[in-house]
Amino acid sequence: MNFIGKDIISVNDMLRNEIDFILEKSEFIENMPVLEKSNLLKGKIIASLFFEPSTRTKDSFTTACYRLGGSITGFTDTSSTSLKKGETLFDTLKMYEIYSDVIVMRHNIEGSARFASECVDIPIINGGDGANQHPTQTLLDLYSIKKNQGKIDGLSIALAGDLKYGRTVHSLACALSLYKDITLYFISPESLKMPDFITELLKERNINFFECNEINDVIDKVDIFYMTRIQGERFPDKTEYEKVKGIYILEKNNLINVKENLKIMHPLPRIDEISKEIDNTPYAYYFEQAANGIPVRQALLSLLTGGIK
Amino acid sequence: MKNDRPYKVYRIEEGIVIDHIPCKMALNVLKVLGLEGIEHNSTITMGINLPSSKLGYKDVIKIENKNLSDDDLNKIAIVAPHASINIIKDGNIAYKHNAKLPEILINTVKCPNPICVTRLEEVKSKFYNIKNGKKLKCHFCEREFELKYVSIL
Repeated sequence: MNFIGKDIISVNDMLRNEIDFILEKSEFIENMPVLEKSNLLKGKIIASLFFEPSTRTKDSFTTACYRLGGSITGFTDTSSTSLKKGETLFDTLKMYEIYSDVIVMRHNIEGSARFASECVDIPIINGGDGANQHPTQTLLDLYSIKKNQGKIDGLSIALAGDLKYGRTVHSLACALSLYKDITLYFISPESLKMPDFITELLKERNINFFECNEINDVIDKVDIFYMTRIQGERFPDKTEYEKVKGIYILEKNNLINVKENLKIMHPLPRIDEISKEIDNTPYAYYFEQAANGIPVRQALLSLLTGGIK
Repeated sequence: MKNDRPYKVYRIEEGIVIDHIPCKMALNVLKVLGLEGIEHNSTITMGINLPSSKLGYKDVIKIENKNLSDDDLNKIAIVAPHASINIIKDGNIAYKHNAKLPEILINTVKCPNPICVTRLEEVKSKFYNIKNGKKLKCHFCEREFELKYVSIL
C-alpha cells in the first residue's frame, strides 16, 4: 500500500484495510529501535500550522517529528504571521508548500483541511478542522483499542458524554462501523444525543447500537468505555450548557462489576468527568492513549514522506 | 400534431415548459433561473395550484424564446426534484427532460454551514448527491443537508 504524497483529511475517506495498514505501521515504529527510527524523517521539514490552540495534537506531532530526525517550521499563534495583515489561507498554504515536505494543519473553519489539500501538492494532515474531522485522533483511538484489547472486531464499546458536539466520537463511531461484530452504546443526555447522520450510517452498515442515559446501564457490558468532555465552547446557548455541565462523573464505585479487560479512554483534556481516583486503577488508559498518538503520527509522517513503506 | 385540449396556462410556440413543479414552488424555480427580474425578453406565464393526476396539484411555468443550460437543469432539480422540462418547437414537444440531480454539483449551491470554508475562502462549492437525491453532502465540511435547506448560488 503506497501512502507517499497522500493527504490524511477524514476517516470517511479511508477503507478498513488502509486503517489496518496504518495501525500495523504504528506498531512497527513503536517497536523499532530508537536509533533506527531517528533517521526516518532525516532532511524533512514538517510545517505545523496551528490556527487554533492545541496541546496534545501539536506537541505529539512535534515530538513525533523530532524523534524521527525531522525538523519543524510553522506557527502556533497567527498574531505573529502575515495572516494578521490579511493574508488568505490559500496564500499562507502556498508559502508553506515551498518551505516544507508535509503540512499539519489545525483550523477552526470546517473543510479547511480539504481545501488545503486542493491548494498544494505536498501532503496535508488534518489536525482538526472545527467540529468536523480529527483523523489522527481517531487513528490513535483505534490503535489504543487494538493495543489494549488485542483486536477491534467483536468488541462492545460505550461512547459517553457530549455525543452531539464531540467530533472524536463521531469519527470513532464511523471508523468502528468498518469493523465486524461491533456493539456500540451511546450514553448522553437527551440534548447531546448522537446526531442522525451518524446513527443513519450505522443502520446502513448493520451496526448494533443502543442509546441510553446512565453510565451504570452499560458499564458492566463493555470492553471500552470512551468518556468525553461536555464541550461548553460549542454550545450556542450557554444556559443549555449549564443544564448538562457535570452530568456524568465516572467514579470508582461505577467500576464494581465491570469486565476484567475494561479500559477507560478519553481524548483529553478532561474536566471532572473522570474522577482522579480512577487514574491508578488498571482500567484507566487515557494517558497511554495520549502517548499512543506519537507512534501513530510517526507512522503517518513516515508513510507520507516515504520513510517507511 | 398539435394538442387541442384547453390550456389554463397560455400555450407557447417556442420555448420551455416546466411541468410537474411541486405546488407553490414555481416562484422558486423562476428565482433559481434568474428570471425574477425584468431584464429579459421572454414572456413567462405561470400556473399555480393546477389539478394534476400525478401530484394532486402542481405548478407549471412556460417561458417563451428561452433555452436552458445544464446548470439551469441542475438548479431546477434542487427546488423541483420531479419536474419535467419540455422544449417546445413549432408548438410541439421537441425534447422532454426529467429533472434529475447530478451526482456532483459544482458551484451551484451555497453551503448552509456558516463556518464552512466555502463561505470564507475563494473556492467553488462542491456537493455530492446522496440518499437518492434526498440530501446533498458538502465535499469540504462533510455536512449533509436536505434539499430544502440549501440555497442556489
